[in-house]
Amino acid sequence: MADVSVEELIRAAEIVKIELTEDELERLHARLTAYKKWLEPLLEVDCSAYEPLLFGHGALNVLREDKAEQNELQGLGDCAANYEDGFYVVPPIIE
Amino acid sequence: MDSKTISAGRIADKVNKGELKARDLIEKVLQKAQEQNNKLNIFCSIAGAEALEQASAVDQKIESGICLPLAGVPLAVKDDFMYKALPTTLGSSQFKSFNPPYNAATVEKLIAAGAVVVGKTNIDNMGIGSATLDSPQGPTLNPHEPKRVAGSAGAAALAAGICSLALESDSSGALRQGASHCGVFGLLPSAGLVSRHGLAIHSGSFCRAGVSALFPEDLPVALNVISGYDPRDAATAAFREMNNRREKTDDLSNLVIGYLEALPGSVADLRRSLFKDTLDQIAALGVGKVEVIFKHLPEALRAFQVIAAAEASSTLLRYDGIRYGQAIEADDLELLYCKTRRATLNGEALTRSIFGTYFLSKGGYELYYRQALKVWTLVRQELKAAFEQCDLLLMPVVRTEPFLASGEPVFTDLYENDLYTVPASMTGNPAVCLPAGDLDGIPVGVQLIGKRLEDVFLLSAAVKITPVITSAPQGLDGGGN
Repeated sequence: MADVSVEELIRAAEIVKIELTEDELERLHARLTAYKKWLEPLLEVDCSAYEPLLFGHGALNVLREDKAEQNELQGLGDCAANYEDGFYVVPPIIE
Repeated sequence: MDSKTISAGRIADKVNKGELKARDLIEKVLQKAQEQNNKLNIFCSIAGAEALEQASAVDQKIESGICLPLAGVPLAVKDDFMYKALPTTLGSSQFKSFNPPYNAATVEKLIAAGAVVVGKTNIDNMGIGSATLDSPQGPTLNPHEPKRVAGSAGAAALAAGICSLALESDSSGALRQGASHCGVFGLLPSAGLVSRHGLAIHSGSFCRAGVSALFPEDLPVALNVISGYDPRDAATAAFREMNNRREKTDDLSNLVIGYLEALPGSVADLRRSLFKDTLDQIAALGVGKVEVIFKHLPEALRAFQVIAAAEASSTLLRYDGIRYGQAIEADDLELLYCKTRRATLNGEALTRSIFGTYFLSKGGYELYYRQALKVWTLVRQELKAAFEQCDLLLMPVVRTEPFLASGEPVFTDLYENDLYTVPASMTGNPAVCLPAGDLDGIPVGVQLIGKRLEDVFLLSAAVKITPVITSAPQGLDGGGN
Protein backbone atom coordinates (compact mmCIF):
# COMPACT_ATOMS: atom_id res chain seq x y z
CA MET A 1 0.00 0.00 0.00
CA ALA A 2 1.52 3.31 -1.12
CA ASP A 3 1.95 6.01 1.48
CA VAL A 4 -0.13 9.10 0.99
CA SER A 5 1.95 12.07 -0.11
CA VAL A 6 1.74 15.56 1.35
CA GLU A 7 0.67 16.73 -2.12
CA GLU A 8 -2.34 14.39 -2.01
CA LEU A 9 -3.29 15.80 1.35
CA ILE A 10 -2.94 19.39 0.07
CA ARG A 11 -5.12 18.45 -2.89
CA ALA A 12 -7.82 17.02 -0.55
CA ALA A 13 -7.73 20.20 1.56
CA GLU A 14 -8.11 22.31 -1.60
CA ILE A 15 -11.11 20.28 -2.77
CA VAL A 16 -12.82 20.62 0.59
CA LYS A 17 -11.75 24.30 0.78
CA ILE A 18 -9.93 24.33 4.09
CA GLU A 19 -6.90 26.52 4.69
CA LEU A 20 -4.15 24.65 6.53
CA THR A 21 -0.89 25.87 8.02
CA GLU A 22 2.37 24.01 7.48
CA ASP A 23 2.18 22.64 11.02
CA GLU A 24 -1.35 21.37 10.51
CA LEU A 25 -0.37 19.73 7.24
CA GLU A 26 2.51 17.97 8.92
CA ARG A 27 0.34 16.80 11.79
CA LEU A 28 -2.43 15.59 9.48
CA HIS A 29 0.05 13.78 7.27
CA ALA A 30 1.42 11.87 10.25
CA ARG A 31 -2.11 11.14 11.39
CA LEU A 32 -3.25 9.87 7.98
CA THR A 33 -0.22 7.62 7.74
CA ALA A 34 -1.06 6.10 11.14
CA TYR A 35 -4.74 5.98 10.21
CA LYS A 36 -4.00 3.97 7.08
CA LYS A 37 -2.02 1.52 9.16
CA TRP A 38 -4.99 1.19 11.53
CA LEU A 39 -7.27 0.55 8.52
CA GLU A 40 -5.22 -2.37 7.20
CA PRO A 41 -7.52 -5.08 8.63
CA LEU A 42 -10.36 -3.58 6.60
CA LEU A 43 -8.44 -4.19 3.39
CA GLU A 44 -7.74 -7.80 4.30
CA VAL A 45 -11.41 -8.83 4.33
CA ASP A 46 -12.32 -10.97 1.33
CA CYS A 47 -15.31 -9.09 -0.06
CA SER A 48 -15.39 -10.76 -3.47
CA ALA A 49 -18.86 -12.14 -2.72
CA TYR A 50 -20.34 -8.85 -1.53
CA GLU A 51 -21.78 -5.89 -3.33
CA PRO A 52 -21.23 -2.38 -1.92
CA LEU A 53 -24.07 -1.19 0.28
CA LEU A 54 -25.27 2.24 -0.69
CA PHE A 55 -28.05 2.75 1.81
CA GLY A 56 -28.01 0.88 5.07
CA HIS A 57 -31.62 0.77 6.06
CA GLY A 58 -33.35 -0.89 3.14
CA ALA A 59 -36.09 1.74 2.84
CA LEU A 60 -37.50 2.61 -0.55
CA ASN A 61 -37.53 6.15 -1.81
CA VAL A 62 -40.69 8.01 -0.92
CA LEU A 63 -41.87 11.16 -2.61
CA ARG A 64 -44.17 13.63 -0.98
CA GLU A 65 -47.33 14.82 -2.66
CA ASP A 66 -46.50 17.44 -5.29
CA LYS A 67 -48.37 20.46 -4.03
CA ALA A 68 -47.40 24.08 -3.44
CA GLU A 69 -46.81 25.05 0.16
CA GLN A 70 -45.34 27.91 2.15
CA ASN A 71 -41.58 27.50 2.44
CA GLU A 72 -39.08 28.84 4.93
CA LEU A 73 -36.66 30.32 2.39
CA GLN A 74 -36.78 33.85 3.75
CA GLY A 75 -36.16 32.65 7.29
CA LEU A 76 -33.29 30.45 6.18
CA GLY A 77 -31.86 33.19 3.99
CA ASP A 78 -31.90 35.57 6.92
CA CYS A 79 -29.37 33.26 8.61
CA ALA A 80 -26.82 34.28 5.97
CA ALA A 81 -24.55 37.26 6.39
CA ASN A 82 -26.01 38.97 3.32
CA TYR A 83 -29.23 37.83 1.64
CA GLU A 84 -31.21 40.01 -0.72
CA ASP A 85 -34.27 39.29 -2.87
CA GLY A 86 -33.83 35.55 -2.60
CA PHE A 87 -30.10 35.59 -3.43
CA TYR A 88 -26.99 35.10 -1.30
CA VAL A 89 -24.70 38.07 -1.79
CA VAL A 90 -21.06 37.04 -2.12
CA PRO A 91 -17.81 38.93 -2.75
CA PRO A 92 -17.18 39.65 -6.45
CA ILE A 93 -15.23 36.98 -8.32
CA ILE A 94 -14.40 39.19 -11.35
CA GLU A 95 -12.48 42.43 -10.97
CA MET B 1 -39.23 18.68 44.42
CA ASP B 2 -36.15 17.56 42.54
CA SER B 3 -36.43 16.21 39.03
CA LYS B 4 -33.96 13.40 39.75
CA THR B 5 -36.00 11.86 42.53
CA ILE B 6 -39.02 11.15 40.37
CA SER B 7 -39.44 9.94 36.83
CA ALA B 8 -40.64 12.05 33.91
CA GLY B 9 -43.83 10.00 33.99
CA ARG B 10 -44.46 10.88 37.65
CA ILE B 11 -43.74 14.57 37.04
CA ALA B 12 -46.25 14.59 34.17
CA ASP B 13 -48.77 12.74 36.34
CA LYS B 14 -48.48 15.27 39.16
CA VAL B 15 -48.68 18.26 36.81
CA ASN B 16 -51.65 16.77 34.98
CA LYS B 17 -53.44 16.22 38.30
CA GLY B 18 -52.72 19.76 39.42
CA GLU B 19 -50.57 18.55 42.35
CA LEU B 20 -47.52 20.34 40.95
CA LYS B 21 -47.18 23.53 38.93
CA ALA B 22 -44.81 23.20 35.98
CA ARG B 23 -43.62 26.78 36.51
CA ASP B 24 -42.67 26.12 40.15
CA LEU B 25 -40.70 23.04 39.15
CA ILE B 26 -38.93 24.75 36.26
CA GLU B 27 -37.91 27.74 38.41
CA LYS B 28 -36.05 25.35 40.71
CA VAL B 29 -34.64 23.37 37.79
CA LEU B 30 -33.21 26.51 36.16
CA GLN B 31 -31.50 27.48 39.38
CA LYS B 32 -30.00 24.02 39.70
CA ALA B 33 -28.95 24.06 36.05
CA GLN B 34 -26.90 27.22 36.68
CA GLU B 35 -25.28 25.76 39.80
CA GLN B 36 -24.37 22.43 38.20
CA ASN B 37 -23.26 24.06 34.98
CA ASN B 38 -20.62 26.01 36.86
CA LYS B 39 -19.19 22.72 38.13
CA LEU B 40 -19.72 20.36 35.19
CA ASN B 41 -19.88 22.49 31.99
CA ILE B 42 -23.06 20.79 30.79
CA PHE B 43 -24.85 23.52 28.85
CA CYS B 44 -23.97 25.83 25.96
CA SER B 45 -26.95 27.96 26.90
CA ILE B 46 -29.55 27.80 29.65
CA ALA B 47 -33.08 28.98 29.04
CA GLY B 48 -34.53 31.68 31.28
CA ALA B 49 -37.73 33.50 30.43
CA GLU B 50 -38.38 31.10 27.51
CA ALA B 51 -38.52 28.08 29.82
CA LEU B 52 -40.74 29.86 32.32
CA GLU B 53 -43.11 30.90 29.53
CA GLN B 54 -43.25 27.31 28.29
CA ALA B 55 -43.94 26.07 31.80
CA SER B 56 -46.71 28.64 32.29
CA ALA B 57 -48.24 27.61 28.96
CA VAL B 58 -48.25 23.99 30.18
CA ASP B 59 -49.98 25.03 33.42
CA GLN B 60 -52.61 26.94 31.44
CA LYS B 61 -53.33 23.93 29.24
CA ILE B 62 -53.71 21.69 32.27
CA GLU B 63 -56.09 24.20 33.86
CA SER B 64 -58.16 24.15 30.68
CA GLY B 65 -58.53 20.39 30.94
CA ILE B 66 -55.85 19.26 28.48
CA CYS B 67 -53.72 16.29 29.55
CA LEU B 68 -50.12 16.15 28.27
CA PRO B 69 -47.87 13.05 28.30
CA LEU B 70 -44.75 15.04 29.31
CA ALA B 71 -46.42 17.88 31.21
CA GLY B 72 -43.75 20.01 32.90
CA VAL B 73 -40.91 17.54 32.28
CA PRO B 74 -37.50 19.33 32.29
CA LEU B 75 -35.79 18.58 28.99
CA ALA B 76 -32.16 18.96 27.89
CA VAL B 77 -31.63 19.38 24.14
CA LYS B 78 -28.31 18.63 22.49
CA ASP B 79 -26.91 21.58 20.63
CA ASP B 80 -27.23 20.04 17.16
CA PHE B 81 -31.04 20.25 17.28
CA MET B 82 -32.60 23.49 16.03
CA TYR B 83 -34.43 25.41 18.73
CA LYS B 84 -35.63 28.92 17.98
CA ALA B 85 -35.42 30.30 21.51
CA LEU B 86 -31.71 29.60 22.08
CA PRO B 87 -28.57 29.67 19.91
CA THR B 88 -27.62 26.45 18.12
CA THR B 89 -23.83 26.55 18.13
CA LEU B 90 -22.96 23.11 16.69
CA GLY B 91 -19.90 23.28 18.88
CA SER B 92 -18.35 26.01 16.77
CA SER B 93 -17.51 29.58 17.69
CA GLN B 94 -18.67 30.57 14.19
CA PHE B 95 -22.24 29.69 15.24
CA LYS B 96 -22.21 31.16 18.74
CA SER B 97 -24.95 33.67 17.90
CA PHE B 98 -26.95 31.57 15.43
CA ASN B 99 -30.62 31.39 16.38
CA PRO B 100 -32.40 29.00 13.99
CA PRO B 101 -35.58 30.19 12.27
CA TYR B 102 -37.43 26.97 13.13
CA ASN B 103 -37.57 24.14 15.68
CA ALA B 104 -36.41 20.59 14.93
CA ALA B 105 -39.31 18.16 14.46
CA THR B 106 -38.37 16.33 17.67
CA VAL B 107 -38.12 19.55 19.69
CA GLU B 108 -41.50 20.66 18.36
CA LYS B 109 -43.11 17.34 19.34
CA LEU B 110 -41.58 17.28 22.83
CA ILE B 111 -42.70 20.85 23.54
CA ALA B 112 -46.19 20.06 22.24
CA ALA B 113 -46.25 17.08 24.64
CA GLY B 114 -45.57 19.43 27.57
CA ALA B 115 -41.80 19.12 28.00
CA VAL B 116 -39.93 22.31 28.89
CA VAL B 117 -36.53 23.02 27.33
CA VAL B 118 -34.09 23.85 30.13
CA GLY B 119 -31.04 24.36 27.93
CA LYS B 120 -28.89 23.30 25.01
CA THR B 121 -26.23 20.77 25.97
CA ASN B 122 -22.54 20.84 25.13
CA ILE B 123 -21.39 19.18 21.94
CA ASP B 124 -18.24 18.29 20.02
CA ASN B 125 -17.48 20.47 17.02
CA MET B 126 -20.18 19.70 14.41
CA GLY B 127 -21.45 16.90 16.65
CA ILE B 128 -18.55 14.63 15.69
CA GLY B 129 -17.21 12.85 18.75
CA SER B 130 -18.34 10.99 21.84
CA ALA B 131 -16.49 12.83 24.60
CA THR B 132 -17.06 16.62 24.07
CA LEU B 133 -13.26 16.95 23.97
CA ASP B 134 -13.65 18.88 20.69
CA SER B 135 -16.06 21.45 22.13
CA PRO B 136 -14.93 25.10 22.08
CA GLN B 137 -16.07 25.46 25.71
CA GLY B 138 -14.20 22.34 26.84
CA PRO B 139 -15.49 18.93 27.87
CA THR B 140 -18.52 18.19 30.01
CA LEU B 141 -17.38 16.57 33.26
CA ASN B 142 -18.80 13.35 34.59
CA PRO B 143 -21.08 13.98 37.62
CA HIS B 144 -19.78 10.73 39.19
CA GLU B 145 -16.08 11.52 38.62
CA PRO B 146 -15.41 15.09 37.50
CA LYS B 147 -11.84 14.29 36.47
CA ARG B 148 -13.32 12.32 33.60
CA VAL B 149 -15.68 13.23 30.77
CA ALA B 150 -19.39 12.50 30.83
CA GLY B 151 -19.39 11.37 27.20
CA SER B 152 -22.68 13.06 26.54
CA ALA B 153 -23.73 16.32 28.17
CA GLY B 154 -27.38 15.25 28.00
CA ALA B 155 -26.60 12.21 30.14
CA ALA B 156 -24.72 14.49 32.55
CA ALA B 157 -27.79 16.77 32.79
CA LEU B 158 -29.77 13.70 33.89
CA ALA B 159 -27.18 12.28 36.28
CA ALA B 160 -26.65 15.70 37.88
CA GLY B 161 -30.35 15.79 38.70
CA ILE B 162 -31.23 18.75 36.49
CA CYS B 163 -33.43 17.23 33.80
CA SER B 164 -35.60 14.13 33.48
CA LEU B 165 -35.27 13.70 29.74
CA ALA B 166 -32.54 14.49 27.24
CA LEU B 167 -32.91 14.75 23.47
CA GLU B 168 -29.69 13.54 21.91
CA SER B 169 -28.10 12.48 18.66
CA ASP B 170 -26.02 9.38 18.02
CA SER B 171 -23.93 8.33 15.03
CA SER B 172 -21.04 6.27 16.37
CA GLY B 173 -22.44 5.89 19.91
CA ALA B 174 -22.31 9.21 21.79
CA LEU B 175 -25.79 8.80 23.26
CA ARG B 176 -25.19 5.24 24.46
CA GLN B 177 -21.64 5.86 25.68
CA GLY B 178 -22.74 8.90 27.64
CA ALA B 179 -25.60 6.91 29.18
CA SER B 180 -23.12 4.18 30.16
CA HIS B 181 -20.63 6.62 31.71
CA CYS B 182 -23.32 8.53 33.63
CA GLY B 183 -25.50 5.62 34.75
CA VAL B 184 -28.67 6.57 32.87
CA PHE B 185 -30.86 4.91 30.23
CA GLY B 186 -30.26 5.81 26.59
CA LEU B 187 -32.34 4.81 23.59
CA LEU B 188 -31.14 4.86 19.99
CA PRO B 189 -34.38 4.22 18.09
CA SER B 190 -34.53 2.27 14.83
CA ALA B 191 -33.39 4.24 11.79
CA GLY B 192 -36.35 5.94 10.19
CA LEU B 193 -38.51 5.96 13.28
CA VAL B 194 -37.74 9.51 14.39
CA SER B 195 -37.58 12.53 12.09
CA ARG B 196 -34.20 14.21 11.66
CA HIS B 197 -35.73 17.41 10.32
CA GLY B 198 -33.88 20.18 12.13
CA LEU B 199 -31.06 17.93 13.35
CA ALA B 200 -27.71 19.11 11.93
CA ILE B 201 -26.42 15.75 10.80
CA HIS B 202 -22.88 15.11 9.58
CA SER B 203 -23.56 11.60 8.26
CA GLY B 204 -26.80 10.84 6.46
CA SER B 205 -26.34 7.10 6.91
CA PHE B 206 -25.55 7.03 10.61
CA CYS B 207 -26.88 10.08 12.49
CA ARG B 208 -30.08 9.45 14.40
CA ALA B 209 -32.11 11.23 17.08
CA GLY B 210 -32.71 9.47 20.40
CA VAL B 211 -33.58 10.09 24.03
CA SER B 212 -32.05 9.43 27.44
CA ALA B 213 -33.82 9.25 30.79
CA LEU B 214 -33.14 8.46 34.44
CA PHE B 215 -35.87 5.80 34.45
CA PRO B 216 -36.44 3.13 31.80
CA GLU B 217 -40.22 3.57 31.94
CA ASP B 218 -39.81 7.06 30.49
CA LEU B 219 -38.19 5.87 27.27
CA PRO B 220 -41.32 4.31 25.68
CA VAL B 221 -43.31 7.44 26.52
CA ALA B 222 -40.70 9.70 24.95
CA LEU B 223 -40.34 7.44 21.92
CA ASN B 224 -44.09 7.52 21.41
CA VAL B 225 -43.92 11.32 21.38
CA ILE B 226 -40.98 11.80 18.99
CA SER B 227 -41.53 8.92 16.54
CA GLY B 228 -43.72 9.06 13.47
CA TYR B 229 -43.80 9.76 9.76
CA ASP B 230 -42.56 13.20 8.76
CA PRO B 231 -42.74 14.23 5.09
CA ARG B 232 -39.70 16.48 5.71
CA ASP B 233 -37.54 13.38 6.35
CA ALA B 234 -38.17 10.69 3.74
CA ALA B 235 -36.37 8.09 5.87
CA THR B 236 -39.33 8.15 8.29
CA ALA B 237 -41.35 6.24 5.70
CA ALA B 238 -39.98 3.27 7.65
CA PHE B 239 -42.37 4.19 10.45
CA ARG B 240 -45.24 2.79 8.40
CA GLU B 241 -43.59 -0.66 8.52
CA MET B 242 -43.92 -0.78 12.30
CA ASN B 243 -47.53 -1.95 12.24
CA ASN B 244 -46.69 -5.61 11.73
CA ARG B 245 -43.84 -5.73 14.24
CA ARG B 246 -43.80 -7.31 17.67
CA GLU B 247 -44.97 -5.04 20.40
CA LYS B 248 -44.72 -5.31 24.17
CA THR B 249 -43.63 -8.50 25.85
CA ASP B 250 -44.80 -9.39 29.35
CA ASP B 251 -43.29 -12.86 29.37
CA LEU B 252 -39.50 -13.11 29.35
CA SER B 253 -39.46 -16.91 29.46
CA ASN B 254 -39.71 -17.13 25.66
CA LEU B 255 -37.02 -14.54 25.17
CA VAL B 256 -33.62 -15.56 23.81
CA ILE B 257 -30.65 -13.23 24.20
CA GLY B 258 -27.58 -13.54 22.02
CA TYR B 259 -24.15 -12.64 23.35
CA LEU B 260 -20.50 -12.69 22.31
CA GLU B 261 -18.46 -15.20 24.30
CA ALA B 262 -15.13 -13.67 23.33
CA LEU B 263 -15.20 -9.88 23.56
CA PRO B 264 -12.73 -8.44 21.05
CA GLY B 265 -10.89 -5.15 21.55
CA SER B 266 -8.93 -5.49 24.79
CA VAL B 267 -11.79 -5.03 27.24
CA ALA B 268 -10.50 -4.81 30.81
CA ASP B 269 -11.01 -7.94 32.94
CA LEU B 270 -13.30 -6.21 35.44
CA ARG B 271 -15.51 -5.02 32.59
CA ARG B 272 -15.64 -8.52 31.14
CA SER B 273 -16.67 -9.86 34.54
CA LEU B 274 -19.36 -7.24 34.95
CA PHE B 275 -20.71 -8.06 31.49
CA LYS B 276 -20.78 -11.82 32.24
CA ASP B 277 -22.45 -11.19 35.60
CA THR B 278 -25.12 -9.10 33.89
CA LEU B 279 -25.74 -11.87 31.38
CA ASP B 280 -26.10 -14.40 34.20
CA GLN B 281 -28.50 -12.11 36.09
CA ILE B 282 -30.68 -11.81 33.00
CA ALA B 283 -30.55 -15.57 32.38
CA ALA B 284 -31.72 -16.14 35.97
CA LEU B 285 -35.03 -14.57 34.94
CA GLY B 286 -35.64 -17.62 32.74
CA VAL B 287 -34.38 -15.90 29.62
CA GLY B 288 -32.63 -18.18 27.14
CA LYS B 289 -29.10 -17.30 26.04
CA VAL B 290 -27.21 -18.29 22.95
CA GLU B 291 -23.70 -17.47 21.82
CA VAL B 292 -23.60 -15.61 18.53
CA ILE B 293 -20.71 -14.93 16.20
CA PHE B 294 -19.82 -11.46 15.02
CA LYS B 295 -16.63 -12.29 13.24
CA HIS B 296 -15.95 -8.94 11.60
CA LEU B 297 -16.60 -6.55 14.48
CA PRO B 298 -13.15 -4.85 14.27
CA GLU B 299 -13.48 -4.49 10.51
CA ALA B 300 -16.99 -3.07 10.94
CA LEU B 301 -15.50 -0.30 13.07
CA ARG B 302 -12.98 0.54 10.37
CA ALA B 303 -15.59 0.49 7.60
CA PHE B 304 -17.73 2.81 9.70
CA GLN B 305 -14.90 5.30 10.10
CA VAL B 306 -14.20 5.41 6.35
CA ILE B 307 -17.86 5.86 5.37
CA ALA B 308 -18.54 8.38 8.15
CA ALA B 309 -15.50 10.45 7.10
CA ALA B 310 -16.56 10.36 3.45
CA GLU B 311 -20.08 11.49 4.32
CA ALA B 312 -18.86 14.22 6.70
CA SER B 313 -16.51 15.61 4.03
CA SER B 314 -19.53 16.16 1.81
CA THR B 315 -22.12 17.17 4.41
CA LEU B 316 -19.96 19.72 6.20
CA LEU B 317 -19.28 21.61 2.96
CA ARG B 318 -22.44 23.62 3.57
CA TYR B 319 -20.79 25.49 6.46
CA ASP B 320 -19.03 27.93 4.16
CA GLY B 321 -20.01 31.30 5.62
CA ILE B 322 -22.38 32.00 2.73
CA ARG B 323 -25.12 29.43 3.23
CA TYR B 324 -24.46 28.73 6.91
CA GLY B 325 -22.16 30.19 9.52
CA GLN B 326 -20.45 33.50 10.10
CA ALA B 327 -18.17 34.38 7.18
CA ILE B 328 -14.57 35.45 7.71
CA GLU B 329 -13.97 38.44 5.48
CA ALA B 330 -11.53 37.88 2.63
CA ASP B 331 -10.51 39.51 -0.64
CA ASP B 332 -12.07 36.86 -2.84
CA LEU B 333 -14.73 34.17 -2.58
CA GLU B 334 -12.36 31.19 -2.62
CA LEU B 335 -10.36 32.62 0.26
CA LEU B 336 -13.55 33.46 2.14
CA TYR B 337 -14.60 29.79 1.90
CA CYS B 338 -11.19 28.52 2.98
CA LYS B 339 -10.82 30.86 5.95
CA THR B 340 -14.40 30.41 7.12
CA ARG B 341 -14.32 26.63 6.93
CA ARG B 342 -11.00 26.53 8.77
CA ALA B 343 -12.45 28.73 11.51
CA THR B 344 -15.65 26.65 11.67
CA LEU B 345 -14.20 23.14 11.75
CA ASN B 346 -11.72 21.75 14.23
CA GLY B 347 -10.62 18.50 15.79
CA GLU B 348 -12.26 15.39 14.38
CA ALA B 349 -14.61 17.38 12.11
CA LEU B 350 -11.62 18.96 10.37
CA THR B 351 -9.81 15.64 10.12
CA ARG B 352 -12.83 13.80 8.73
CA SER B 353 -13.45 16.53 6.16
CA ILE B 354 -9.97 16.14 4.71
CA PHE B 355 -9.54 12.37 5.11
CA GLY B 356 -13.08 11.79 3.82
CA THR B 357 -12.22 13.76 0.71
CA TYR B 358 -9.12 11.62 0.31
CA PHE B 359 -11.22 8.43 0.61
CA LEU B 360 -13.50 9.71 -2.15
CA SER B 361 -10.63 10.73 -4.43
CA LYS B 362 -8.73 8.72 -7.02
CA GLY B 363 -6.63 6.18 -5.15
CA GLY B 364 -8.68 6.26 -1.98
CA TYR B 365 -12.05 5.42 -3.50
CA GLU B 366 -11.45 1.87 -4.70
CA LEU B 367 -9.04 0.96 -1.96
CA TYR B 368 -10.94 2.27 1.07
CA TYR B 369 -14.40 3.62 0.35
CA ARG B 370 -15.68 0.87 -1.94
CA GLN B 371 -14.18 -1.81 0.31
CA ALA B 372 -15.88 -0.19 3.31
CA LEU B 373 -19.24 -0.29 1.51
CA LYS B 374 -18.77 -4.02 0.88
CA VAL B 375 -17.87 -4.66 4.51
CA TRP B 376 -21.04 -2.74 5.41
CA THR B 377 -22.99 -5.39 3.46
CA LEU B 378 -21.11 -8.10 5.35
CA VAL B 379 -21.87 -6.47 8.72
CA ARG B 380 -25.58 -6.37 7.93
CA GLN B 381 -25.52 -10.05 6.99
CA GLU B 382 -23.68 -11.03 10.18
CA LEU B 383 -26.14 -9.16 12.36
CA LYS B 384 -29.08 -10.64 10.46
CA ALA B 385 -27.64 -14.13 10.98
CA ALA B 386 -27.24 -13.43 14.71
CA PHE B 387 -30.86 -12.34 14.98
CA GLU B 388 -32.01 -15.60 13.40
CA GLN B 389 -30.93 -17.28 16.66
CA CYS B 390 -32.13 -14.71 19.19
CA ASP B 391 -34.60 -11.90 19.94
CA LEU B 392 -32.15 -9.43 21.44
CA LEU B 393 -28.37 -9.02 21.50
CA LEU B 394 -26.52 -8.11 24.68
CA MET B 395 -23.26 -6.22 24.21
CA PRO B 396 -20.96 -3.99 26.22
CA VAL B 397 -21.21 -0.28 25.42
CA VAL B 398 -17.62 0.86 25.87
CA ARG B 399 -14.28 -0.89 26.36
CA THR B 400 -12.81 1.46 28.92
CA GLU B 401 -13.56 4.06 31.56
CA PRO B 402 -14.42 7.60 30.34
CA PHE B 403 -11.47 9.59 29.03
CA LEU B 404 -9.70 12.02 31.35
CA ALA B 405 -11.13 15.50 30.87
CA SER B 406 -7.61 16.94 30.75
CA GLY B 407 -6.34 14.25 28.41
CA GLU B 408 -5.72 14.17 24.68
CA PRO B 409 -6.40 10.54 23.76
CA VAL B 410 -4.77 9.22 20.61
CA PHE B 411 -7.20 8.78 17.74
CA THR B 412 -7.06 4.98 17.82
CA ASP B 413 -8.31 4.99 21.43
CA LEU B 414 -11.14 7.34 20.47
CA TYR B 415 -12.12 5.17 17.51
CA GLU B 416 -11.73 1.83 19.28
CA ASN B 417 -14.08 3.03 21.99
CA ASP B 418 -16.87 2.87 19.39
CA LEU B 419 -16.24 -0.84 18.74
CA TYR B 420 -19.45 -2.05 20.36
CA THR B 421 -21.69 0.85 19.40
CA VAL B 422 -21.11 1.06 15.64
CA PRO B 423 -22.84 -2.22 14.66
CA ALA B 424 -26.31 -0.89 15.56
CA SER B 425 -25.36 2.43 13.95
CA MET B 426 -24.51 0.65 10.70
CA THR B 427 -27.55 -1.61 10.53
CA GLY B 428 -30.30 0.73 11.66
CA ASN B 429 -31.23 -1.50 14.61
CA PRO B 430 -32.54 0.01 17.84
CA ALA B 431 -30.34 -0.18 20.94
CA VAL B 432 -30.88 0.74 24.55
CA CYS B 433 -28.17 1.31 27.15
CA LEU B 434 -28.97 0.09 30.68
CA PRO B 435 -26.92 0.85 33.81
CA ALA B 436 -25.44 -2.45 35.00
CA GLY B 437 -23.19 -1.48 37.92
CA ASP B 438 -20.08 0.55 38.50
CA LEU B 439 -16.30 0.22 38.55
CA ASP B 440 -14.40 2.52 40.94
CA GLY B 441 -17.55 4.58 41.40
CA ILE B 442 -18.06 5.23 37.68
CA PRO B 443 -21.19 3.65 36.19
CA VAL B 444 -20.93 0.97 33.53
CA GLY B 445 -23.76 0.16 31.15
CA VAL B 446 -24.65 -2.67 28.81
CA GLN B 447 -26.64 -2.36 25.64
CA LEU B 448 -29.51 -4.44 24.37
CA ILE B 449 -29.87 -4.37 20.59
CA GLY B 450 -33.25 -5.21 19.11
CA LYS B 451 -34.49 -6.23 15.68
CA ARG B 452 -35.16 -3.31 13.39
CA LEU B 453 -38.42 -1.49 14.10
CA GLU B 454 -39.07 -3.68 17.13
CA ASP B 455 -38.34 -0.78 19.47
CA VAL B 456 -41.46 -1.29 21.57
CA PHE B 457 -40.56 -4.95 22.12
CA LEU B 458 -36.96 -4.00 22.99
CA LEU B 459 -38.02 -1.37 25.50
CA SER B 460 -40.59 -3.56 27.21
CA ALA B 461 -37.94 -6.27 27.68
CA ALA B 462 -35.45 -3.63 28.92
CA VAL B 463 -37.93 -2.34 31.51
CA LYS B 464 -38.42 -5.88 32.84
CA ILE B 465 -34.73 -6.71 32.87
CA THR B 466 -33.61 -3.47 34.55
CA PRO B 467 -34.57 -4.33 38.15
CA VAL B 468 -32.32 -7.41 38.20
CA ILE B 469 -29.23 -5.71 36.83
CA THR B 470 -29.42 -2.34 38.60
CA SER B 471 -31.08 -1.58 41.89
CA ALA B 472 -31.64 2.15 41.49
CA PRO B 473 -31.17 4.97 39.00
CA GLN B 474 -27.54 6.04 38.94
CA GLY B 475 -28.21 9.75 39.39
CA LEU B 476 -26.08 11.33 42.07
CA ASP B 477 -28.62 10.83 44.82
CA GLY B 478 -30.43 7.83 43.35
CA GLY B 479 -33.96 7.63 44.64
CA GLY B 480 -37.06 5.77 43.60
CA ASN B 481 -39.75 6.74 41.15
